[in-house]
Amino acid sequence: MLRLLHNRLRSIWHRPQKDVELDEEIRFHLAAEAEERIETGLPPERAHAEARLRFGNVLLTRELTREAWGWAPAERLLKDIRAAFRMMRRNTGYTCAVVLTLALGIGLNAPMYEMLSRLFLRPPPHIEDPDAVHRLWLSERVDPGNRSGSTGRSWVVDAMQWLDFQALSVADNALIDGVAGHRVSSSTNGRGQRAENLTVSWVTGELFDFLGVAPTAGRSIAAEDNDLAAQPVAVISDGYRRQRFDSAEEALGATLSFDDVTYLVVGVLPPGFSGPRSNAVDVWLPLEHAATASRGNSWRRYGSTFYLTPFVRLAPGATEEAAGAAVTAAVRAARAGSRFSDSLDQEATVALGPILRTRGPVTLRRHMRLPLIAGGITFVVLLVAAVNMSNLLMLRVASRRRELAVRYALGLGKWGIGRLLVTESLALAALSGVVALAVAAATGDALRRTLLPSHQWADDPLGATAVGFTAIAVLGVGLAAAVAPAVYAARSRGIEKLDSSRSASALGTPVRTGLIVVQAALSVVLLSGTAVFYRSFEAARKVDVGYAKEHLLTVTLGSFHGDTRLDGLDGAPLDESAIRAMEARVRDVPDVLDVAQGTSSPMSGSGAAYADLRIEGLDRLPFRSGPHVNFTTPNFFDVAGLDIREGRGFTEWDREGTRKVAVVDTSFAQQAWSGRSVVGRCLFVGIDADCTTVVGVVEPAVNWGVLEADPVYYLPISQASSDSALARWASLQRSLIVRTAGSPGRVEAPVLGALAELFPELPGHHVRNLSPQFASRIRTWRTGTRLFAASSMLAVLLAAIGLYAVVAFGVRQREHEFGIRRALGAKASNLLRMVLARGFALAAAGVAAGTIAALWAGRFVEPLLFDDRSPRDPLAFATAALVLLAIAVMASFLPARRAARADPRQALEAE
Amino acid sequence: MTPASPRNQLLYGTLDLLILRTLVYGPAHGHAIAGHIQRVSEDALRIETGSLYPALHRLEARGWIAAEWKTSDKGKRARYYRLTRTGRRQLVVEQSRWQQLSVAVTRVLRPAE
Repeated sequence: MLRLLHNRLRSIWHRPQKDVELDEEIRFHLAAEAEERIETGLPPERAHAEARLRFGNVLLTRELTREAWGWAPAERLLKDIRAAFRMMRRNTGYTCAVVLTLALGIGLNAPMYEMLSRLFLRPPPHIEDPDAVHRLWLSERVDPGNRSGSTGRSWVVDAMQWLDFQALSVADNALIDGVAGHRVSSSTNGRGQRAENLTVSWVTGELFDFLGVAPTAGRSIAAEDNDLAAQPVAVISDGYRRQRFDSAEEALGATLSFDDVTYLVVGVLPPGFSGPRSNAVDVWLPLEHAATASRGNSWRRYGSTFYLTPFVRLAPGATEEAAGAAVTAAVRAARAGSRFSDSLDQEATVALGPILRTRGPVTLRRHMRLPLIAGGITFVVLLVAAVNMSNLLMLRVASRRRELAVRYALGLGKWGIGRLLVTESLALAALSGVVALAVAAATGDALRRTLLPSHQWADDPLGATAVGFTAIAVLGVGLAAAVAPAVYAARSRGIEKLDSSRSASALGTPVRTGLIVVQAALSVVLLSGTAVFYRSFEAARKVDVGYAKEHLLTVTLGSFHGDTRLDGLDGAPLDESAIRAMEARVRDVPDVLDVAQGTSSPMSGSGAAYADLRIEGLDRLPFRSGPHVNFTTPNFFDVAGLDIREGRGFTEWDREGTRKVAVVDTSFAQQAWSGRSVVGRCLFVGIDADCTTVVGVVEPAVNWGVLEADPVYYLPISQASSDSALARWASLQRSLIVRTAGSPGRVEAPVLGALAELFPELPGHHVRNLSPQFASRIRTWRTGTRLFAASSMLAVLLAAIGLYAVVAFGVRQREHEFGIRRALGAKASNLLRMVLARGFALAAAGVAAGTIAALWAGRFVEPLLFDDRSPRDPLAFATAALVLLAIAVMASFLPARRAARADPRQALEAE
Repeated sequence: MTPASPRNQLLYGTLDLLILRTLVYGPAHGHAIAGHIQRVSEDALRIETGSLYPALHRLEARGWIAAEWKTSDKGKRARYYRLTRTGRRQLVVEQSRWQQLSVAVTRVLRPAE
């Protein structure tokens, strides 16, 4: 048995030697045969000839004997692979073109699918039995009585207020094994210049136990830590540990400070752990300490803006529906018993969803859609690359007719030829796969950081999914690309075509033409996508946010989170004289033109507060959302770059004791008084019985998102000293709005330095440069445009290569014909035009098909476009078509020139 | 596809038996084996090389015969095949199988007895 195996292995490995031996054996046989005849008296030549005749087909005997060596299929495969690599070595240019294009196609896709699987399929890492963990989705009607001003709307959120959350723990124990919650926000650690912004998760004491995660150092937060009487503790992520501390030992025992509470670091969590969500978190704190320090005691009540994201672990055997019903019942019971029951939706329902937020019941947000679209785009690129490869293979087959015919004649057979082509195709694809992995390793990280910057990306971009995808793509593309050439080669019965080289140009033409049209069409789809996205991005970029965003730097002082209900806020008012000192100091910084104050800072949601407001003559507020209030200094409008459209802004005369005044923005004026005269109207703010007179209208400004300009009214800070809740709220928060001469980025450090000089222990403040902030808001469109542009460039390049190859091949095959045409009097320019027209026609067919496909595919990108722009933008489509046609003409130009130069003399001589 | 192979002209497996039997007399090269079979059968069995060499190599791959390069009596290097121990055992098996077959065929041809 062993010897048998040994023999067979020998026959594989000592293949060349065995071949030599077999040849020698056959030679000996022939010699012996001839000798016998010579002995009988025949002349040597006759004897040798007869011996040969008697022996029969030497080649056949050799083939049959080789088959007897065993493992013939493996042998054949090896032979085919060797032939494939020989072919690749001989045609370096062709191989490089195919391998590079396919490698880029696969290399773009592999990390993309790794990313998509991470987003939509794989639960966050380090969670024990993640399938049993469920995210809770609350759907409720936002009550008309709610003072937030929104009426009759309902929402579905994966968050609930504290009392709703507490009710979960009384829900059926047979169905639910555990409950935990967290809330993630951005918080400032430390003070003064050492302050750093971190992503912080406030957790209920059970969360880490609930998830079953084990810290890599120290311990995690336990139930007893979530108690105001206990020492405040924190656990940190592996990423933050690496960023801040040299070792885990150094981290343990260090302290962090949020909202003036000092937390002792007691543990470090494993790399890649981000809790039950996919975005990165730096620090985890016990909810009781963190929420109380930040918001006083109000967070526990209904009606606070404090929301917690709840999770439950299903008991074995429990169904999502049953648990959902139990949880819903518990929440409803809690709401019915609350003293706020009037303002709470008693019909609210809670449903269980997978732990991944992306698979929850709400429609995907824009930034989640982008990766999906991106996956689609890169897949189209892969398709183009596959089609390109198929087309190039076809051309190779056509130009190798003679070789294939000889192989056929030598007994390779139809199947053999097909096998050879499939092997070649697979070898090319495999080589591309290797290069693709290198491409993926180089680009994967940048790709995912561009598409989803805040995601926790701990694992290598080349994960199992990426490698698996590459393997599948190699196999799939390798086989698919070989289908057309193999079928064509098998059909065209090599032998018959062996000597018909002249008419061969027509061979396989429909297939090649079809492939090139498909390629062009796919390129047009990507090109129109690029154009549509670019136009959308341009529109977003040119949006007038109102503010002079290119020249503004804002410094938000303090970290007081505004609560829309203005009761129950504790904390000392800001020191107005200190703020004036800061304002004066910052104004002295070189390149600073002016500094203003406001209770909310431009283009930020934080601090923009709703307040009790009545409008003279109206029973209820007419606004869809808002209005927000902003207390400002008189120079605010000037500094922020907001134009007064009507009336006046604030002046130094608007102060305590003088007539109360307000300025509204145009969207406020429009919605409240629908265009009628505004100046002189009365607002009643807070509990004030006095009229606050509107003295001016200012242009609208975008504070949220990119387009949403919620109505805003402005009040002078100097008139906010009454003891109303609103004024008290205003005294708790302040932003400095800094107008700079040049780029705000250059002033950032000097401004911070000046502030630190004045107040070394300045509590957590936040500096923002509006220009990059705006840029990050329109990131979706920019990223989309870049992605489309890169993909379509690649696709167009592929299409150009393909088109060039097809046209050039056609010209080479018809060179003879062109020569004759010249001889018969055709002008060179005619021939040139003829070939160009062919390239153009191919591209035009592609444009037509591609435009139809792009019109259809538009629906998928529509939700991603800025301001609900139509994906069927005629200008974008026309541009795409023109680009492709231009490329097509360029690609056919070289072959066309060659055709025009066909030599009539040579053609005639050949005749 | 594959052209009809000449070894089908002999009853399948018979050639293997003939080769093994021939090698009982000692090691021989392919040409000698073919010659021996032809001589002994008095020209009734002519072994085609297209069958002979595949058969030899197949038997070798199965381990029934072994090959080595030796100098022939004419002074040339030739590949000599010899029976291995398993080959000898196999010869017994093949021979008895052949005899059974031949008896059976004979019975069919002369059913009256």
